[in-house]
Amino acid sequence: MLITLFIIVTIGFMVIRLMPGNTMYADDPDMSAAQIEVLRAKYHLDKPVPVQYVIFLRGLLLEGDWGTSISLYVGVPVWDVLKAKIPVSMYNNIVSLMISLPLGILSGVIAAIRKNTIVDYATSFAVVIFISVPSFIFATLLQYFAAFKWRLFPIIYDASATGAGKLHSLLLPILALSFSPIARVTRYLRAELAETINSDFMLLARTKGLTETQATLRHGIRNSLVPLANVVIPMFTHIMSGSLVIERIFSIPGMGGLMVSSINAPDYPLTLAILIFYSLVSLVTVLVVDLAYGVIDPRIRIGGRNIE
Amino acid sequence: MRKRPLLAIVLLIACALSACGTPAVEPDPDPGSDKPEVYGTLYNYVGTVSTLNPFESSETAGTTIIEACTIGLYEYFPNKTGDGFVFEGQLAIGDPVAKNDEGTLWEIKIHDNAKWENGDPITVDDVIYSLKQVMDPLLLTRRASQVASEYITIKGAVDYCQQGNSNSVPWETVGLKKIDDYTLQVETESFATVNDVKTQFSTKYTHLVHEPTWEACFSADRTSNTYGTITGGWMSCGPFILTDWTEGSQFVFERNPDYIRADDISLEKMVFYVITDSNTALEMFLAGNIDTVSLGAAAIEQYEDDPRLHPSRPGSVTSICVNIGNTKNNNALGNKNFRKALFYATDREAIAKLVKGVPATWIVASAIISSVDTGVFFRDLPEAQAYLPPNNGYDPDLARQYFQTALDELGIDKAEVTMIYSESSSTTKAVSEFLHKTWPEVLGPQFEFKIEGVASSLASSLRKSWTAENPNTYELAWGGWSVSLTDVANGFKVYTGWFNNKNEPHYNDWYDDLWEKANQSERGKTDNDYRLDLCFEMEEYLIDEALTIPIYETPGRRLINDRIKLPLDDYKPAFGWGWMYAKVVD
Repeated sequence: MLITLFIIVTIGFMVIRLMPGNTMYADDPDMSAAQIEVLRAKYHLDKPVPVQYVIFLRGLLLEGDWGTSISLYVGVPVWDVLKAKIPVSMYNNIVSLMISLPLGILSGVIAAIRKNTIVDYATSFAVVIFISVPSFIFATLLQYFAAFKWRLFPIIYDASATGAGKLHSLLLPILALSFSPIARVTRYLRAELAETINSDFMLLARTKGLTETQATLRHGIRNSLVPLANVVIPMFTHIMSGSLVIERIFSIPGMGGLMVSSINAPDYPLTLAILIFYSLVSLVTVLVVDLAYGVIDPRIRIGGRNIE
Repeated sequence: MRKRPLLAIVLLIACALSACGTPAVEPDPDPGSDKPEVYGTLYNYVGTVSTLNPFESSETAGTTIIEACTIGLYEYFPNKTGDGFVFEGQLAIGDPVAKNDEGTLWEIKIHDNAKWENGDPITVDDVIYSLKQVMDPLLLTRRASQVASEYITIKGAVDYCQQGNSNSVPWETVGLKKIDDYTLQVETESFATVNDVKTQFSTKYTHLVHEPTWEACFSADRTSNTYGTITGGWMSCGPFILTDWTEGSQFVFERNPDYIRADDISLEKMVFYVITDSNTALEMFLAGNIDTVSLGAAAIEQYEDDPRLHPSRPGSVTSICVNIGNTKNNNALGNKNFRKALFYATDREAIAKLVKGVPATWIVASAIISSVDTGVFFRDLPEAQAYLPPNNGYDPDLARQYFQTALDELGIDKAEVTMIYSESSSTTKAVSEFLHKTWPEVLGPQFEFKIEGVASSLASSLRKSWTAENPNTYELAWGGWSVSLTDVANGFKVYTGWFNNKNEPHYNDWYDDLWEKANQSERGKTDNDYRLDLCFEMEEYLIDEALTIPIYETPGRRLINDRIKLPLDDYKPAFGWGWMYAKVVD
């Protein structure tokens, strides 16, 4: 994982720094050439890119220094900016994930048990809609109807709210983020479970006297969850990418707006830090999923020991 | 017992629903109470504001916020009759007074009753400290060179702020001195007028910072400062006190009773939400959550006849920057006839319809005034219209003639030109596609035109990064300058040879001389007619040379709630909308 992260950081740093037209304060009509030169020297932008990379790595590894924002939050350590923004975005993303998984599993199980009935058809129809339509469209629709027309929710995030009030003001963006993951889990689990239900061990379970529901809940779902873990990885990153746009729609002061602003500014240290953050989250998610295999299916754990 | 979970769910839903509805809008106090002129809350919105540090802020939205809660020496205020504005002292008392005949030594008196929000008195020490910090050689703030030298050049200031860590230029050499606690002395490098001095000290980056708070925000090596940022401290001293700031979300201001000109302020409170999505802002306005919204091109038609609509003159001209130093096609873009072919091949009227704008064939934007004293717009002067090409500069036959002449002069059969545009701007994308279709139609098969969408930061970088060694960073690109709305001559600097941040590699001594006469000569500073004549000459030259191809302007369109009475009827350049001076009339 660390090697992967190192490669991502290296490529990210080089891509960001080597973008054509590496000019600082390009939008500033009144800054003198001499001042720009001094500023570039102050932030090491006058040095060759490999030297800049070494300076960055040394600061990050030895001092935990992510650098200083050079354009947006001038003078503020990048880590301080991230510390303020990450909790807001992660709150939305994690709550969305927590809603998506159980609801997706529930609807997937129902659709599989009621295969080829009206319930299954309705679920499949909803799944197609939720997967095909981007989350920001749902966000716009929810904002228009639920917040603007029906006045059930605030139109934008209410920064002064706490507790239940905060959740209330974030419910629409969280819902918008959740539709697609719910549909993905539903579709995947329905397909897996429908196949599992027809397998021999399920027939044996029913022969032993278990009801259809008991057999499905005790044996079917557990077997179907292992491949489902593969879906969680892209799902979480999918939620995070969706929140980039949704945060803007609902004026949520999270990482989404920050990423776009830092690229446009341009604020290289901030862009790089955000890139590292998202990479780290993705890598940790992969690790968690790998570990979860063993919990969900003991055979994977035992198989690993036998090999040793 | 089995009903308890159900009961809990019902209670939970009831709790959640109790919090439903629109954000609470507090009732305004009774207008007939003891303070009839001071009541009400203005709900407004701004775009992204990353910092309140007046020396580093570069966002338009930041200006609105910073000016609401800080103070400077001079400022624009609504006049008593409500039909215009005056340029007066904010912290300063009266105009600067010249102390020598050369116009290089000035004294500015300041009020002795100004305070910070914590009660600390404001003296000349605060003014000098703030100006010292903005020009600090180690901090090297974004606005250092502008404060050192823009409308006036403060003696020794340029050398001081650009000395780096050499410590070779002491602060004492800079022409800013304390005469007494309430008198500031300013020494300039060359002749300056009263208006020059006032204008220099009216920008947000000359506003004050609170010394103890600022000092506490320094990094250990004193090369960075977090004042007014997500992690740093803040101290208000302006018309309003910033009472709550949730970065990226909202600003809440309360009227400052200790503000020197507190009588000018009628609002009790101002709330600014941070909204970057135009549809969200419109919904917020229509739902009554904010009192004003700026309309995007897509929404204009729907509200064209709305009595709440307030148009405003555009402050910049959207133009095509031409890289005249590009060496492709035998340096075709360096050929005047080639550029003029592009100029006259542009159907600006059709483009203006497309973007809900106004066709523009000029350089000086419509919002720029010819004189602060008269308030007359430069574009409304007959002399400024005399040299504009007819038919909004669209003449296909003339364009073809210029094109053929250019090909002959360049000795080429065919020219291929590429224009870059920002992918994130739907407007420039639409106009680029329109030109992609129409330019080759007008100029014929010998003209091949390509367009290339890039990230906005990249488009900006490519436009700026040409050098003598690497001249081909771009060929055509979108641009538009937002220059001073009150000083028309100053804005022409972006085409001078010395201007470092140029879009086009244009160097012409004759033009530079015109600019210097208009801006730096004693006659230019004191004789407005002479100054304007030079401006006409510079603009005519730029249009004729087609160094940049003006295409359209986009007037501002803003819906303002009926409950808000603005200090002036409409938007005024330099003064703006005057939200701080608005009244709630419901």
